[in-house]
Amino acid sequence: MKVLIEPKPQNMINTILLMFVIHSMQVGVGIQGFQRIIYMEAKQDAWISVILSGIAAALVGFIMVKTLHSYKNSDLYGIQYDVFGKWLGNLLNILFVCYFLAAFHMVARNYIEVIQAWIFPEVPSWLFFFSLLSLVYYGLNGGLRTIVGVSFFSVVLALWLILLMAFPFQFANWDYLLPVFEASIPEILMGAKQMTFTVVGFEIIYVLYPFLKEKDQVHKYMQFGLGFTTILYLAIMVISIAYFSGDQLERTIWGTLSLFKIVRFPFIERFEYVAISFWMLLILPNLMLYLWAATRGLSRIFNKKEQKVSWKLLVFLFLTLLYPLNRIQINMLDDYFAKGALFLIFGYPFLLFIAVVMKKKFFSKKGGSANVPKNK
Amino acid sequence: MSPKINKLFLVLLVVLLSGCADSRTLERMGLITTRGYDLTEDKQILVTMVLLQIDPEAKEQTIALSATADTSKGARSKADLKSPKKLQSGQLRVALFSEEVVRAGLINLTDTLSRDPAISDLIYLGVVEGSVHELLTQKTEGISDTSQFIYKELEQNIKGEKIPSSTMQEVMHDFYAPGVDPVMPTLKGGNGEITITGMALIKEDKMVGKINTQEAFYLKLINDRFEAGSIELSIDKSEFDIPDSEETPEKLTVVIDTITSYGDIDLINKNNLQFELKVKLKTRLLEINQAYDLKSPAKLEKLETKLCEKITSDLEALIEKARQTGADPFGFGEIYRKSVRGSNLTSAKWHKMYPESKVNVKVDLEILRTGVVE
Repeated sequence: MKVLIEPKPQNMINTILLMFVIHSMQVGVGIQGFQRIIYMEAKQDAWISVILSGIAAALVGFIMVKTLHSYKNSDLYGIQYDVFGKWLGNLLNILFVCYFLAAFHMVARNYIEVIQAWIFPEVPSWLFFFSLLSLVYYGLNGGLRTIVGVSFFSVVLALWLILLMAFPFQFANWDYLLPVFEASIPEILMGAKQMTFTVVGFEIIYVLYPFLKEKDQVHKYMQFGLGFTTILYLAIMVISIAYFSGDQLERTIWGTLSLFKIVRFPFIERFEYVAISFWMLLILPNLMLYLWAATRGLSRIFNKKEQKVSWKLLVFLFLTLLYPLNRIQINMLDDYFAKGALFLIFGYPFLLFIAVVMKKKFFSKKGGSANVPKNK
Repeated sequence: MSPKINKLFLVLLVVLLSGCADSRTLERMGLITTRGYDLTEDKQILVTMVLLQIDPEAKEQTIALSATADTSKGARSKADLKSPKKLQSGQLRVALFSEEVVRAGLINLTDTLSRDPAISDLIYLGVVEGSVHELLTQKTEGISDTSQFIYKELEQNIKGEKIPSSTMQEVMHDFYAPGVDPVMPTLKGGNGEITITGMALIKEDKMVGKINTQEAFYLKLINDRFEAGSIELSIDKSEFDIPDSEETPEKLTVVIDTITSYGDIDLINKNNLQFELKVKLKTRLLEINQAYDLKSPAKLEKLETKLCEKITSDLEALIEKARQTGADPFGFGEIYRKSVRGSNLTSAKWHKMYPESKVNVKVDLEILRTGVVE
């Protein structure tokens, strides 16, 4: 495998778009119901947990970009191959491919569950998966630029949904935010840990990096994207705590969607139906980018053409999605995935960064190697 | 795949997938607008549903269906057997419960309502004195659609700030909150009218008492900041130097309209559970039933103090009345929860503490205007 990548100029994307990619990757299915799992840990201080998780994401984002900056133009797969060697490196690469596929699986499954619970209880899952995956295939066929375009529009077209949060305001009772800091520090940290499933997504930078045009601005736009997501989550969390009462929030599986339940216009009385359908636009970039990242991984490891890998992966994912799961099992799966993600996204990047730094030192002493050309 | 086949594939998808979900043609749907719950003698639930008729030739705008079963959804599927149209609850506006049902416990029924994604969180809940079935099936002249009538009546009075709001979101919210109990308006039918008679006091999920509309106004005064709403107050006139005569009424009665009001509860002593309730009212005088000199500032001030005293004693009486029943619709418990760190307040815990609590009431009333004439 070649460590360095030289994408064709027509495949490159403007770095400013990274902001949208990061934000759209983070916002997906987690946001629909993250309130209650955080609330269970930290009670009315859950919003502090949200801020902490935002800070953690910013820190990890910084480390990720730092790691990528150490190479001229490489991605996670190349770096791991270079740092850990052929066998261990590729093993880790496969692990990340599995992670991306699992993330795809979780996003698709959670979203379809929402559709079935709220709108179409009788329509079979395979039909939803099939139509959703067809759209993903369409995006993948268009290549990275199409996918990034989809993320851009998913953010821009969904911005107006935030305005609808004004409706729950009329029922909000700010007393529910008090007393502040009643939860102990471990409880707040546990709450922040529970945010994992909701904040992950920004790891896409690991794969996307070589395709960004202006490398020196990567970090700036990465932090913009992360910051915007944190502010959004914080706002939703605060409104949810004020709108629901304690036990009520713990019983509400999809808090954000329930917030939409009281939006009422003269022409659309039940707005949550629009919101849930519209959510597909928020889900699509998640699915496309996760699959694209997994495809990149496999095609890099085995030196295959991306188009030949992607549809096989899609068929494989479709088959895994057919396996029926109920709410409790999905919840369990979400938990397992969150645990894995906590390690892979919030722990491992630090290890990788240290390894990269050490390798750089080691090789600069020896006078450099073919694979590590850029000395900063 | 070549682009051409790709496009064909997409067109095919659109055609194939559009037929898959259940189509819901309006004419074939029975839209439930009101649901009522009664208890039968053998502890089953009698559910009455009022359907909107979408048929210009129909004589009646609505039809009422009823069925008895152990659960509300069971009753609905039984009612389906009586209906030519598929029953849908997406347009549900009001859910009514008979007093008997609410006294036995309400939460299982409201829980099914909130569990169903088709039902809006903004439906109004209400308690009916007597049988809901009779109220919904009664034929009243002048009311063509009972269910719409009830909905509009509740909406008008809630929006007009006469009674506290009781949407499902608010009732469920207060039920699950540890330190506040929900309230629901009580309705009564008969004599060709449907009247809101007051509010039901609910402890946890069981109705324990009733307050009248005047007290409901005070309840609203304590809980919400609100703008409109007028109230009639009668005070003893002996302290005012109003000439006594045979014709004038015994009591001095004034109607005041609140322009703004503001209620604030503070916990002043957490060991003795002492609360302080401050109510600030800015009002205008609408009517006074006797000749009284409103020009003189001293006299106006005296009227203000007397009204203050009256409202204070009324508020104290209301709080005492609620405390006797054990229901806390004012949310004193929430004030306790927010002021005491690490209280771990639960509903059961609060209901044990609540009877011990004391409340000091302070009212500040100001008459800003007395109309366009003096």
